[in-house]
Amino acid sequence: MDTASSQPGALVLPLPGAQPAAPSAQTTPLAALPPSLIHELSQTAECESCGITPEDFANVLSAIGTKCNYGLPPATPSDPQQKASFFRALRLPDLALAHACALGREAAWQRFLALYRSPLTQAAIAITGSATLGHDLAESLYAELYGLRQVEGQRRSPLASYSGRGSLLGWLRTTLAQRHIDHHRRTHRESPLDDIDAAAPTSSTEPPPAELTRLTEAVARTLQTLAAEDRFLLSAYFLDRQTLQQIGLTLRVHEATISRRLKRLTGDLRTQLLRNLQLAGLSKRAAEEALGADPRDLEINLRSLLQTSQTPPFSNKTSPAPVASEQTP
Amino acid sequence: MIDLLQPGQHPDADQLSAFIEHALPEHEHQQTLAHLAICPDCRSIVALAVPTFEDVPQPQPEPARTPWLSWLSGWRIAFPVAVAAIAALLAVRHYNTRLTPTASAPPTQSAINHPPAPLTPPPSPMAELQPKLTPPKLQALRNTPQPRGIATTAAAPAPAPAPNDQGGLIDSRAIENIPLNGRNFTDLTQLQQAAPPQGTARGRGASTGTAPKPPALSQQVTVSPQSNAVEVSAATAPLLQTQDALAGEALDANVADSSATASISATGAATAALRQPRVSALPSHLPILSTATSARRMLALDTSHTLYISDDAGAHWRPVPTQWTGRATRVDLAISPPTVARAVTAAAAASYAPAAGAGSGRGVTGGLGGGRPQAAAAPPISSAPAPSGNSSLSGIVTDSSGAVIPNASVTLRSPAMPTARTVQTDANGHYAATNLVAANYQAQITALGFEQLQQSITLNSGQQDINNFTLRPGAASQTVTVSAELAPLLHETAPVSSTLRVPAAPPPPPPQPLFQITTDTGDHWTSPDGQTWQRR
Repeated sequence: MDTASSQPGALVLPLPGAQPAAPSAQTTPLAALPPSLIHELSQTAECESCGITPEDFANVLSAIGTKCNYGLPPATPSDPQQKASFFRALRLPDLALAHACALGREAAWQRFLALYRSPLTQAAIAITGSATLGHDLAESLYAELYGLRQVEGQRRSPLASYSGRGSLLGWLRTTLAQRHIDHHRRTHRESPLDDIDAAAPTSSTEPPPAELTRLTEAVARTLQTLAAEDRFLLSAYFLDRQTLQQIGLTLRVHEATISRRLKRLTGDLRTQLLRNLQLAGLSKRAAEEALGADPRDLEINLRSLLQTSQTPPFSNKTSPAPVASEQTP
Repeated sequence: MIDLLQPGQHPDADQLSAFIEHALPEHEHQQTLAHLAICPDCRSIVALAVPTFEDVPQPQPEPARTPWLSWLSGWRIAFPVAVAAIAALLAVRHYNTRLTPTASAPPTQSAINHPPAPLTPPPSPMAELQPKLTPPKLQALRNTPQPRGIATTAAAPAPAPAPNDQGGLIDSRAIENIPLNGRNFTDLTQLQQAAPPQGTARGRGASTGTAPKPPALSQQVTVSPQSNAVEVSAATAPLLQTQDALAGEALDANVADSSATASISATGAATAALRQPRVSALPSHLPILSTATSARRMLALDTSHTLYISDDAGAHWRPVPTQWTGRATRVDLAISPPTVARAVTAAAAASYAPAAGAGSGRGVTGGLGGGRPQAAAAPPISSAPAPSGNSSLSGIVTDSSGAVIPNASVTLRSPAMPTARTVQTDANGHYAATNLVAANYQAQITALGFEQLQQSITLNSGQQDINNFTLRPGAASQTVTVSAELAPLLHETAPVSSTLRVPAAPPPPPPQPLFQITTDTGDHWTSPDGQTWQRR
């Protein structure tokens, strides 16, 4: 997975000596934003110190507003008030700095290096777990950010995809993580079978007992009705083996809260399983006995069940992911 | 790290970083979460990109929800309200059988007592009421000066008060210690228990003498869980309004003819402001210790034990010269006894009900200046005056297993009596209603935790009937009607000639309100106008 290749909104930067890039066709006219708002936002973003003009910054803002629909759900019309609120909520100084760097402004690069060089290197070392790999990862990202990657004779910088909704340092850290994952995927295509915990094909041709079939169906029905966050919790904790602290940092809740949620979730799952088993025709006692069955006897793929979303995932950017069949221990 | 092929597009770094920083709008956050649930690679990216534990401020754990409370979470508000409503219903039911209405209307009067204890804990919610109903706590509350107290009385003299009966006047001490705003409910039971025994009158200032039949009241005590209001309904009493303005708690005693209502409301400052007249501060600018109101005349005692009087319901105050010995610690209301009715009542008591602990003396019960009981040989009675007769009804109330039921209410209603007569069983389950006129009665026996029992009883003149009632446990009400037109059986005594006729007593004059102060020496001083005082 090359995430960089799938990033929309990357600006085309002119190479030194090349023709300056034409204004993006995706941007809306400057008239879409009132001049007073442009002036206010430019002042807040300190555009002049980054070497970016208010007009360029307005184009960037218009492109981001169109891309994000001004923070509103898709196909929801926005009024000027909502647009202004959306723009004011952005991290405007980071946004101006990132796009000035993407445009190749030297002053912006000096400022970027002064502000983010050290944090970026430290984040790369933390992600890779190695100083050497971390430095390599940080340097490669610098080169990429500077626009050494050329498309049709023009350099492209990933910084142009930064929308300013999060911090620039967070964006850099996430980009580092993406690159690290990409590197790992490129260099670790072949993994031992025990790493992916794939199940051996069943040799038995005998049909499973009826109770196990009912249990399998009940588990599938129960897991498919889970909410996205509940599935994320189960996936992160039971499949990815993330710690409560890691999940808590991701969701910005205390690890004790994650622990209670997981406990409540598993309890609810058991209750729902019992209910589904009883709906399938089992008595309460038989349903409880069925829950005590050996999980290895179940023809079930928890990963695929957990990773089957009931709602359209991630807008229209993600296609359904075929997952290798595996059996839970 | 699991290396599974995940073709397709994924959230870019911008969206993931915004997700990590919780900067996405809700719909995008949910979309990203849904994708993360199905995409292990993106979960790995997020896990790597999350700042380290030391870099981010640690969120506080959510309050733990114990499993037994989780199902109750929706009831956290409704449960205390329901408990308070049920308790109020029981209190109304129990209290309504204690007091009966009278025929004439007393003057408007009320008394409020504010013991000087400003270190009052904040008002507790109604949910805290129920646990405070334990007897030790009640006793402690009774013995401990309350930070604020309200006493209200609404008295109505009986046209021909029976000597052994006693009025439904509420002992002001029983009410004065009712803390408002959520703490008041505890003393409602105390208020019920404050009913003096039969033929006695309990008075805070009374020291001697027995009381004739006091004015009857039919009082209802209701607690509104939403407003923390306690309403005391008193029959045949004029409009009575007393309110506690200082605490922002209101005491409304609206007593009207035949269906008077005195309500003690603790609805907060807003409700109090709507209901009560504005009482200005005392000239001494000290907190009010105790107040008493009669019509628009109002007496107030401040914490320096100086008495002030106001003729315009507290708008303007002027000090009252000290005419008593000692320091005044409390001001309340008493009612002057009706003289004619007292004499007739005393004579009737001596003639027809000598065994019932007849009292004589004041026509008003304790808080209004009534006398302290001499003796209480019979079970407690709190009921309305009834036409005096020489019949009586007594017996024992037991449950189906034969165990006696104390504090069961036996209410007698008859067309011959304008008001109901209610007696309560003593600790031995024994009840006795004396001085009943010969008539058909509908007896209603109620006790907490038992089914209500109704039974028709016919009393002949001079008959001393014994009726034992057996209540069945349970909450459902039950009505048993027995027609008894013939002469009933005589169980205990031979028939006594009952040709005596009691001349109908003229209706007594309405009692005059008397202001009363209590000094630290225990003396009581009364005044009809609040300015000239004499020792009682």
